[in-house]
Amino acid sequence: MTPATRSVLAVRVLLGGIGVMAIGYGVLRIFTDAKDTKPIALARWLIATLLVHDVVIAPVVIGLGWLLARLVPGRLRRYLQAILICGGLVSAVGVWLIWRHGRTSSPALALLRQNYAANLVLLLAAIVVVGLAGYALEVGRASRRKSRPPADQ
Amino acid sequence: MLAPGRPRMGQTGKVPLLTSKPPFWPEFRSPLRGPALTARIGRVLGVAFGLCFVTGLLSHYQYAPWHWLPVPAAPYWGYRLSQGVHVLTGIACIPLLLLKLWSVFHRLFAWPPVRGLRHALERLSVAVLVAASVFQVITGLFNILQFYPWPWGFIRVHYWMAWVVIGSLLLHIAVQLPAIRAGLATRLGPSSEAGLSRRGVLIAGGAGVAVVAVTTIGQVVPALEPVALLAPRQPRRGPLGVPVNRTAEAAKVVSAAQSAAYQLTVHGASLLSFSLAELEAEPTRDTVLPIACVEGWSIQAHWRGIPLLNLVERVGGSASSRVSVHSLEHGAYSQSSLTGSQLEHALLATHLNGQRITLDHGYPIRLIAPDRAGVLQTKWLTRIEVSS
Repeated sequence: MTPATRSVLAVRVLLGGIGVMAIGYGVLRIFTDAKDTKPIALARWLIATLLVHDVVIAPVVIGLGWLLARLVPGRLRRYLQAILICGGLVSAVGVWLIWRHGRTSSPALALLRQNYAANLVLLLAAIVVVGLAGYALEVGRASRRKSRPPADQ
Repeated sequence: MLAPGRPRMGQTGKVPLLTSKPPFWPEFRSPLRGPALTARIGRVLGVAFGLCFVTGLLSHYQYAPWHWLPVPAAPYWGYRLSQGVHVLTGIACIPLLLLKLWSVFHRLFAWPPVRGLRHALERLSVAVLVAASVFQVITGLFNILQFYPWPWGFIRVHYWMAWVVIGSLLLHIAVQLPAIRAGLATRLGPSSEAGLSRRGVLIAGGAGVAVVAVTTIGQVVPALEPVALLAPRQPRRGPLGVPVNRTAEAAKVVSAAQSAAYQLTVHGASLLSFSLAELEAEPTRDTVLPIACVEGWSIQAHWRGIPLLNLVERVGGSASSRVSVHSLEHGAYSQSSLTGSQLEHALLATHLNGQRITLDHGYPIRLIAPDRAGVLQTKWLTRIEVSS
């Protein structure tokens, strides 16, 4: 084992050791605070969180990508993928705000008072416009390259 | 019963169930996914999680500081910055985490699912990391939205789960360090003619995260409020230009705070008692301090009030005394403590942004001190206790 490999191994062992201790500390305190932390309900939530991602969100995203790869030609697909990634990530935050909009106890909180549905539509529209503008620019550049006469004429 | 290490079936010494992939097992090919892309997204997410953890610890410290290391008054915007970063980074982690999980989703279908005890433990640690991370950012967002569809106390669970998240992240880095180093040392590769390139994924994903960040930061930076389309709070829309998190009605103090019998008592070596009229006759000082909420929003405001230290000294205390202030309300946030430099700068505020503070803001008086979590700026004060 070279000194470099040894030091990398030492770092891994150290990081792993600290990691295991931190997990152990958190889990232990969840159980010692069980009256407040409700470990059984918490475990159910953690498993549900994992399932919602692995069984619902990820397959839907993968399915969309699969459909896109089969239905849309290459250059347009590139921009549609970019629009979907960017818009999807923004929506992942926006949908919660739309869902909770207006469900607060008092206007004095100044909480969730915006029209988030309209705001998200505005943001998604901006993302679509930027994406399609990029596509149009690339198509324009490609057609100019095709129509340009050879350099020796 | 089989002897240890003896093959159960077949001549190869391997278990056929694990060597041949069953026909129903998903086949997953993606030219985009790979260590180069995952390592780059993971690096950003790791930094974001680290920031969230450190700023979360700073916030937690506000609730229970060590007696020999009180929360300082300077910089007065310290909590505003740290909690603003905590919440903003936490929200930005939602798209970042989704992008990271997307980049490694194919590994969920690796065959064989388990190659041995070590591999099983590794996969279990990844499951813990994924579940804990998604849980942490989503429940954190729900807290900001004041939505609690669970039976546990959010503060404690969020705090202990933060240790689980950061621990499983460190463990994951330890396990994957060679792959991370190799991934970061590998070029992203040329653009694919057929679709988006890996660089394109980073640009589109980065743009998504940036849009989320820019459209939420306005709840901390007033100049960006006009573009804060996804900010849960609009601080300037609160009464007197400052939001409240708990109204007088919710705290059940509406009549007590407006009662003619209202009194503020100060308990120390001697006892002082003030009626509302006497309080309002006390000398005041003006200051500009932010209200910075644990939920991430903050706004600077102009305050006028009675210097707390003046009253503390009149009952025999000093800047080194430990002072607890008590509210008319009962419950978790009915009192808070302060000492040292925070005590020196604290006011019992009577006015906010040039007007008498309203019921929801803590009428007749509330605490305002620098570098302090909003929930500890106790409202509807009725009793002050001074101890050495």
